[in-house]
Amino acid sequence: MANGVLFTQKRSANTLRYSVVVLLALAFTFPLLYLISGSLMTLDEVTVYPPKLLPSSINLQNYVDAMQVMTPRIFGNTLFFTFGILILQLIISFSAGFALAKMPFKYAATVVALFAIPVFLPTNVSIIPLYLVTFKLNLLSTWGGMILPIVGSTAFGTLLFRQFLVNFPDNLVDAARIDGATWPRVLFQVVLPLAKPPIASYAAVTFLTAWNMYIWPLMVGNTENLKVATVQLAPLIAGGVGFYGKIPPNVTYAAALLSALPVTLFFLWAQRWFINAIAGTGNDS
Amino acid sequence: MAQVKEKKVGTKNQLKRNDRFWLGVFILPNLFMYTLFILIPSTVGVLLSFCEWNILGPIKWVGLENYRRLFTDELLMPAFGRSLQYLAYGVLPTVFGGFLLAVLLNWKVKGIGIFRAMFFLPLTVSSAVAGISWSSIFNPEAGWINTFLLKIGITGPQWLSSFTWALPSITIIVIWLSLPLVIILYLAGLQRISPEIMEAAALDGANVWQRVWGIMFPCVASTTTLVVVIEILAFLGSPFEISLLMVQGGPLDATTSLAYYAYKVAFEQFEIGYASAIVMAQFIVFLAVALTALKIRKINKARG
Repeated sequence: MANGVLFTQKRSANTLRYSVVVLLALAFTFPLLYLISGSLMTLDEVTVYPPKLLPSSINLQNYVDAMQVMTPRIFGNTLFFTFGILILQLIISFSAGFALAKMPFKYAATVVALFAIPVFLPTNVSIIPLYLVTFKLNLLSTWGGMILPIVGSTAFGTLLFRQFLVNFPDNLVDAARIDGATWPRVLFQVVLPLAKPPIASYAAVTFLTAWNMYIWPLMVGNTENLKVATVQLAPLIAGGVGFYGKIPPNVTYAAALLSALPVTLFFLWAQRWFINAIAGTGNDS
Repeated sequence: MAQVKEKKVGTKNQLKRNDRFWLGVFILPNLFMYTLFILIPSTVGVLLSFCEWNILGPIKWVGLENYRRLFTDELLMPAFGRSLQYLAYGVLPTVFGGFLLAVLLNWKVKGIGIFRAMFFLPLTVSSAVAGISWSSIFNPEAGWINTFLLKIGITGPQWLSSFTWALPSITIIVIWLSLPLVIILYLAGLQRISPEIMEAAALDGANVWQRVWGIMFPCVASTTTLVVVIEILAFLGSPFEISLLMVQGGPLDATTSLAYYAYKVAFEQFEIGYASAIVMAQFIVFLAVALTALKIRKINKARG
């Protein structure tokens, strides 16, 4: 590996490099580390000047209070929003990616080219008209309006799955077809069990993106029964002034961590798939 | 390569009627959703830029009127200038910083996985969580930066409440949110450099700095192109969300980017047509810049 060769093998150089890595990592994550620390402080501690780095005792009451902000309902909404997008988009992207790769038809190339269009469009170009389309479909303030317009951005998934399935051995598909398997059978019993890597990569990226989405759910679902975590948290920024001045910073920090916890744990667990998905993008160029 | 392979697909024998049915089942739902929520909105966006519409009233075709108005809008050029500032302060530090951090982290040593994961963490937090955690850093009185600055004898600025410093503060947050992706992409790029090249350079007596910039950086040139494009799009888009969350475009519009301005025109003034024209203008300007940059790059490459 090219790794060790960058610096000389001298021990002092390695110690230096190690210290630099540790210090930079701590500095880089400081805003998040302080969030953890602050979420465990009492109100007096978190507002004291000069600020304190560590709490004098572990104060878990803040998390109990934070459950008033990050209610089970908000969590449920966020989960429903995230998995609604993930599952619907996965189904239509995977089946289309399969058809484009393994069911040759006249217009396959045209359809693939069609899916490449969004690569050239920054997301903001379409958010205003997307809102208008959702409005015209009478979907504002409904789950359909929250989820379906996002499900529509199928380009990433479809192209990812198509790319993987183009390289999928044809003889497996052919053998199944000759044995009389129907197309859905080929899709579910032959291809799907062997397509775990791209599905995992796709799921990791989509899960993170959907869980953290803010502007769209704010525009379409800023109502009690549709609110997701980001929309609920946003007014708490800057110490709760926006949230009727009711929520103190230590509880705000706890609420922020509660909202980030599922996705962070998921990321640490699924890191490899996530990085594969991103690094794969770099491979092509 | 993909094309060649497709031709060889064994199922070449014509798709039968039954096959066409399943083809439709597999592809049409996707195409329907994609058309409805991506292709139609994009087209509608282009068309609306030639119209006047306040959402409730009728849509009126006004030709190039919206585009003419761009040149007389006194709020537009400052917003455009702020978008350029975001790009100017944000893109290069993210690209070079991300590259250097990737070089540092591209190291097989005990515990490196933990430190890499630490650098990837901002990827997992939402803008809302980032906003909450950075307000404890940028707080003018009790925030960590000003506390630190005071210790070394400097009275720090008001950061997000300051007309001058709000935009750089938002930029710093966007850099922090963007770095993980850049580091991941560069790590993937660096791992493709063959060890022989690095060893040869080491034998030739090239020092660390020369090896990093003279050999590693050119070796990941294709990653750099990709990263620059991604970051230009990021710094055109993300400051909008962070600014909306933390300071609502303020203080005194100091952090209102072009994208944010278009959003305000659309959803606060309800001038959908004009907002679409702003978005289109931004798209055209930056597309032109991107194409020119690519052309210059090609000419330079041709010259060797």
